[in-house]
Amino acid sequence: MGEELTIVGKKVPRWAAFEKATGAARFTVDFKLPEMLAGRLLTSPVAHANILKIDTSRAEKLPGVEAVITFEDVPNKLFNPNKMDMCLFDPSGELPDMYVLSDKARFVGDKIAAVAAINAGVAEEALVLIEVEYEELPAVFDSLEASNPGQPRIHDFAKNNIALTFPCLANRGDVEEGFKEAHVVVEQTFKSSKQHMCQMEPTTCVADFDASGRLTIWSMSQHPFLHRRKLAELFDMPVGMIRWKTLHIGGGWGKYGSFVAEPVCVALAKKAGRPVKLEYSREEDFRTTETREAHIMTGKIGVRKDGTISALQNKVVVQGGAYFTHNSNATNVAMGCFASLYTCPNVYEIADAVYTNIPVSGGCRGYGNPPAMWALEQLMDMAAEKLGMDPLELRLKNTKKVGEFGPANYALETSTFDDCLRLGAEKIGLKEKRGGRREGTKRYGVGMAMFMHVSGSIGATQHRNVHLKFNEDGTVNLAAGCVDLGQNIHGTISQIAAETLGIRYEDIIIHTGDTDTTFFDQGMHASGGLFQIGNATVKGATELKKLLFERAAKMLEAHPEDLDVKDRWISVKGSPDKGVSVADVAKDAIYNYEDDHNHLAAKGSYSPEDNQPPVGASFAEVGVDTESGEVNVIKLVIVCDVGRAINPQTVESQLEGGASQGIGYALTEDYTINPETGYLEADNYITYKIPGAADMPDMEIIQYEKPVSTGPFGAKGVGEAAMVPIAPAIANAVYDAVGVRVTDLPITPEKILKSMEAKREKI
Amino acid sequence: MQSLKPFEYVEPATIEEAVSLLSDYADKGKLLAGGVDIMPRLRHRKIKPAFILNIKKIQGLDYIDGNGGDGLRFGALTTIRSIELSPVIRKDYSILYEAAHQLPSHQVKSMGTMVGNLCVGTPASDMATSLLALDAELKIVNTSGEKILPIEDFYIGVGQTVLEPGDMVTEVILPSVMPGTRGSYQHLVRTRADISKVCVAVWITITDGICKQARIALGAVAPTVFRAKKAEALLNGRELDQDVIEAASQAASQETKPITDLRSTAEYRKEAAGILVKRALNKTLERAKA
Repeated sequence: MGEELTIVGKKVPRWAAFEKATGAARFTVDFKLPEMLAGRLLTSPVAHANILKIDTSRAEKLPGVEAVITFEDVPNKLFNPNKMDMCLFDPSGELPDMYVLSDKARFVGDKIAAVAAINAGVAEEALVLIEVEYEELPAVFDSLEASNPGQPRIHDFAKNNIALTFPCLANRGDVEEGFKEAHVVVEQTFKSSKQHMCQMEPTTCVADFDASGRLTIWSMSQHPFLHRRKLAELFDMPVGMIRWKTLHIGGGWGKYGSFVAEPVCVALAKKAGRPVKLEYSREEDFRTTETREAHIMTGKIGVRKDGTISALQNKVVVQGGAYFTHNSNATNVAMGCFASLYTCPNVYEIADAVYTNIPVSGGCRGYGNPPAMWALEQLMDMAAEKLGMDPLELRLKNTKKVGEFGPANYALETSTFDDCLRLGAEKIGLKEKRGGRREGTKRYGVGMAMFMHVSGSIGATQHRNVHLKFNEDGTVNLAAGCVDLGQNIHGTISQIAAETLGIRYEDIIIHTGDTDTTFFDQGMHASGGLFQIGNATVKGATELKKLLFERAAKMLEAHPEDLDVKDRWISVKGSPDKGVSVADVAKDAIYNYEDDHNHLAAKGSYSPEDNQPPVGASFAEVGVDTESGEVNVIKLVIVCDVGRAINPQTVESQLEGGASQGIGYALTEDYTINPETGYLEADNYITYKIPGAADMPDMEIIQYEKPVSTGPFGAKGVGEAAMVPIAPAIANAVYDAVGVRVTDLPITPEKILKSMEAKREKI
Repeated sequence: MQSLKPFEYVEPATIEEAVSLLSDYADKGKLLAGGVDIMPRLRHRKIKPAFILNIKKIQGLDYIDGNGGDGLRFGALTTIRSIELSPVIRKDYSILYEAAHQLPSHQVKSMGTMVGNLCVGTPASDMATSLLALDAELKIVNTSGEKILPIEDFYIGVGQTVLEPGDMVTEVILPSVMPGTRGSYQHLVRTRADISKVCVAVWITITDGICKQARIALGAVAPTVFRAKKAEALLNGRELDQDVIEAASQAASQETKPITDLRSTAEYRKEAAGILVKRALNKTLERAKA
């Protein structure tokens, strides 16, 4: 590298910014096909019931209805909607326990039947005409209660509703010995909350079988290739008979890491013999699709007198819901992150995945890491207090050094925790502000939390491919199998390609969203896109540049290794006047009929050889009103070691967006299940509150750049990082302000007042 | 997205035509003004009217006339945004401005009418709470004529008003403001763009340091917005010192009958109502001294 970068590191406009800002961008929800039918879902109104009978005859007779489907019309095959079991050589542990449509209702919102009709009005009318006879069963909504003997059994195979008990893969040492070595031991139970992804575009899918029986599907999936394979297996189709297309996507944050609308939509299109668009209402989206998984974590930390951590223990109850979905993966990530943030020789964690009659959960930005840090980073502050040590000092004592292992089990090439901690502490004014300023009924405090995430997940599942070809005008088609959900992966890999090739950002024409015309890509998750597809792009572009130079060398009568390319101009090193434009070389390759023709094209493939985690720390300054319990986040400082910011504006928006999602998780996003009926009460944006622009504090985002040798231009993944530490940082700041610790999310004024009252009563 | 159930759509040109149609349709008809409340309810099938009467084409219902000295009137099509932007309202009826101003969505404020907001009948209406403290009156028209009703008598339960099928609110009338009158609007929300957990409006006339007339209105802490009259009685004739304010705040809190819902708990609302009354009284006092 060494040379000055001209495109990487610059705030170039993000991909599709103009189209999205002007409304020109077309999303799945806008997509139409001739003869297309409207699909609608019928979901269970009860939390737990045997279905004695479904009579669809009246619905079928309604004019305009083209198909009605129930569990009898879908594959008689249990599956798990998470794509992870499609990753070869990586047994995911996700249990297959659901059908495309249920034969038994296990939560309010469970998918029971679906209709395709000539328009949405008719389809909705038909839903009302489907007669379902439910035999209601007792239901259980609380994970702790659900595993007691005598509770209603939700799946036949799961005794006491425990689907699976599994230890952390990173367990090590001997925790009993570790706790014996400890000078202080702190144990506390923390409850995290489910969190909705709140993507702007409602879940939508279009499916169409052509005359040959080949299926084309337009969906919001983050994993077109894995989902194509999964769909093929589910419907007993050859993979080649499915073409998976992607349009603009209005957000995902992990929701579309699972099947959502696809299987039902395909079953409807198959039965109707016409294209079907299945669109969820916002309420269905809230009730029926996946959310962030919630955990009840009883964490225990032992700290030696010198401040070093001697043992960590964590007993986890997974509040997944009525089906297993991501319980294994999300919880393994939670436990792995809990085990790996700090240097600690003795770790023991174990999880029980427990079924309840509540909606399902899956992967949401940060996966299991936010609930893990909600526990661990509060335990750190609690231990620091008990030890009489400053919480910043305690963290500095335990940060990982170069060569120690990150959560994905690769040795750290750099360690910038200390720099990030010190920088953030200085920016927020940690020393001066700690201990709480007082003003009338207000108390002020500061708190911090550290984080380490990943740049992709573990193992050989992360295979990525791109291909590039030169057009005769010097532009380059960059084709990739990735999906842009708003994270600007299309823009950042375009920057990488342009930088590597010595052409301009606008010379890259990106093509994605079609499994027929792009190579395999593992899909968007675990903040792995940039690190891995970026590396594939560097490889492909480097290969293409080699071909470009070989051709140019002939034209210039020079050696390829003597050539240089900058801003579309290839020249001989040392004599910048002797050169040729990139476009002329590309054109020559195609159109010089005197010479050999060879369209300049190359492929870049990458399987992870490394995984350098984004790390950092966040700091919160809060004001708490002691009368009303209101929490006002005054300032947030987020310092994140991003390796290198390919597009600093994109990185900033990712960190800021993650932090704002973190604020909602911390303070306002309340997943409320009616304790009598199991009904999800907050099921739209009126009732479920995500913070908006007016709720945002002053945010200082610091992109700390220490490039890593294995990242593309030194970059790491940053899509999820900032979501991870916000809730514990705010909780620690609230404690600093008023001396009470709310341990179940979200931290509401109601809970703060209750805790303060309980504390007063104790005294 | 759920589609709308079919209905007949009519656009009356006059108030007379509107109330005549309303009377014919009886409980099958619904008025549409800004649509910000009715459209989501139609989509969610919470209401299934056979007839929708869009009153937007009726001339002369979008106005703000008058001032604090003479009293002020605004019409059934006056938007919340117009109220917010009115210099007269901001100056003479500050708590109505404050209630309108805190709504963060310009789209909702620009589409939504003040009268429409009142007719929804939600006990959490910031607007109704402020108008109750201002002692507003509503002009109600039907085929047999018109009547003027104090807003205090307008609400009878959650989502319920005294309006009979065929009734239409055409105007809101605010009384003139006595010299020395100040007020404050306070509320608690989960996020800025949320319905209030608790809201409070106070409107107090202070002469020579003595409270001559106090009105304290509370929202979201009972089945309807209501006046905390016991608390008001503790203020009338008294100087507003901290003891009086504390006593009135506690009395107001005692007068609430809140429920637990998604936004908060009954216990919290009861306590918070008192805190907000105290904040509002202190703010009013501060303004009176300024």
